[in-house]
Amino acid sequence: MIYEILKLGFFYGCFIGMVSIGFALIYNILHIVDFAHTDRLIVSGYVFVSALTFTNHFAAVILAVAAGVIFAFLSEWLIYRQVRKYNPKLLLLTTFGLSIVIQNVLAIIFSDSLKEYPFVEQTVLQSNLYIRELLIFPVLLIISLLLYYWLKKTKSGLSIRASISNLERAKTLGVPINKIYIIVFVFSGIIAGLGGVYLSMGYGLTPYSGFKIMIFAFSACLIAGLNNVYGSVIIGIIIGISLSVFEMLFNALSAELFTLLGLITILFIKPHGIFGEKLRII
Amino acid sequence: MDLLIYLATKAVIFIIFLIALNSLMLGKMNLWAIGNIVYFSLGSFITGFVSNNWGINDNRLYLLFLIVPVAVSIVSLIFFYASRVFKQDFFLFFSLFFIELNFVANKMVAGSSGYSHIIRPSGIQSDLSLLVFSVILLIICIVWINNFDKSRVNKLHSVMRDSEILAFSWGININKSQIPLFIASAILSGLMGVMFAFCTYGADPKLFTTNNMIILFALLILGGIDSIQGAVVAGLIFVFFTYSLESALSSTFQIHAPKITQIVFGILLIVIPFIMPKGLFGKRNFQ
Repeated sequence: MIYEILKLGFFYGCFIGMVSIGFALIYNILHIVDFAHTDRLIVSGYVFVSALTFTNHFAAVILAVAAGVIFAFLSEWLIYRQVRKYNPKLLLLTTFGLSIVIQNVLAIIFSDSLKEYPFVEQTVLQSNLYIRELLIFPVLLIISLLLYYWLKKTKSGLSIRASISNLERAKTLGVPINKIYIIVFVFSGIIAGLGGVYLSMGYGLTPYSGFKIMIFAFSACLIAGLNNVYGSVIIGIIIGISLSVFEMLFNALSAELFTLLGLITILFIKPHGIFGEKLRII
Repeated sequence: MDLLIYLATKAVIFIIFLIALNSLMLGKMNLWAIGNIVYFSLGSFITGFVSNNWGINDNRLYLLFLIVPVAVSIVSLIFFYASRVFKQDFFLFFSLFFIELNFVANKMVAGSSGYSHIIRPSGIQSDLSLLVFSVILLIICIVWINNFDKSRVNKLHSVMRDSEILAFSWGININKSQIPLFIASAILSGLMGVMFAFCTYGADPKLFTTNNMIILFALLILGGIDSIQGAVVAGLIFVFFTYSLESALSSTFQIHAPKITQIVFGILLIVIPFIMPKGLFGKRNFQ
């Protein structure tokens, strides 16, 4: 029983951790919380479930990731970039606006009710683990390693780090900022796509599921420290396990309540995060 | 006519709520206080709880105008100290925690459909009397805010808003100075929650969500920051435009009409920076 609860919490935590990487990346480069990030994840989830009606799993995953990437690219290119030119301070509200539009469009197309994965999941051999559960941790690890390699060892990664460290100076040194933004959004789109697939298979989707995931994923970033992408993965896993344990002890609502209270308390005590530098304006 | 009175009452309630948000939180302290919806919701739910569970008579329901301010003050004080280190988008995100926490707590206490059959106190039982009562509150609120705007304390708040470092160097205790305004805004929001519960005879957790609050916030920016006129425009648009649009759309789109209305507001949020970053009556740009 305990093993089962910890297992569920761990995998949900991996998912939260994966989503938080996307949040952290966007925050570090744009200095805004992109509230539409998890809505793009939900869109990818719906694309995956819908694609399963006419194609196989592999193609459906590719389509879901492609949807996440295209949507992230379009959000940045068509909306965020334009708003940045006019009034960057309002970008935060723009992301909220986009989030509201996505949620309601999805609710009109797919209805408010829970859309579940249309197949019965089979465990792998006799391991008591589903395929998505077996894959989530390696995928998270690969994403983290790729991110590490990309940021530390490539020229574009160096440009991103330069932009994060000092945007104005990076601009004067000729770093192609807009290109950097696009790359970051595409990467976050890939993460959203994979997250959407995992969420739809394991938990089902509603148009409004993104909000709760956003709360937990971004708080993982905050608690880990916004400049610490890998720390947010660890905190994400802790959040997942905490949700799972409280749900076992009480119920789902209480689990959410206690976890939120815990997160607020931690942020109250350590507002800069556990591993983070003083990056935010306080 | 009844519908018009009902909508006008709702509009007045939202206008007072938005004045509390716009003129006090956003205008004086530059706080993106979407968490004010928590106080509004607290007012509604306490009203629902008292009305449904305590079985007190109509006259004693006026006690809510004492109970709610006390409860809301305590909650806002906790929130003030908990969120003190956060500014702007982080304050907003921290507020989201409280909204979500409040949503979960409301569902636990009142169930997912909230409270219904809330009774009104004697004296304001008819829709018209409730409207008159709300308008009186609005006038008091406007007079108070106008007087406050002319006061010396307001100048002090302008300094703190524009540069906390400067205010600090002048020896101003920022926390101490901001607490009264923070609590006043929360109390006003809580009282409007009570009025809203009386007006609609219910308290539904789904009404006090982040999306609705963000839409109100966006309408405030459209109306104009730190201006009473801005809050009035935002409140009127929120109630009358929403109702008109949903009514117009409902014949064609039926159950999807509220969602389409939300999409319209979402698009509005996206285009506001392009069309009017300062709003209609704004005293300054969004900072």
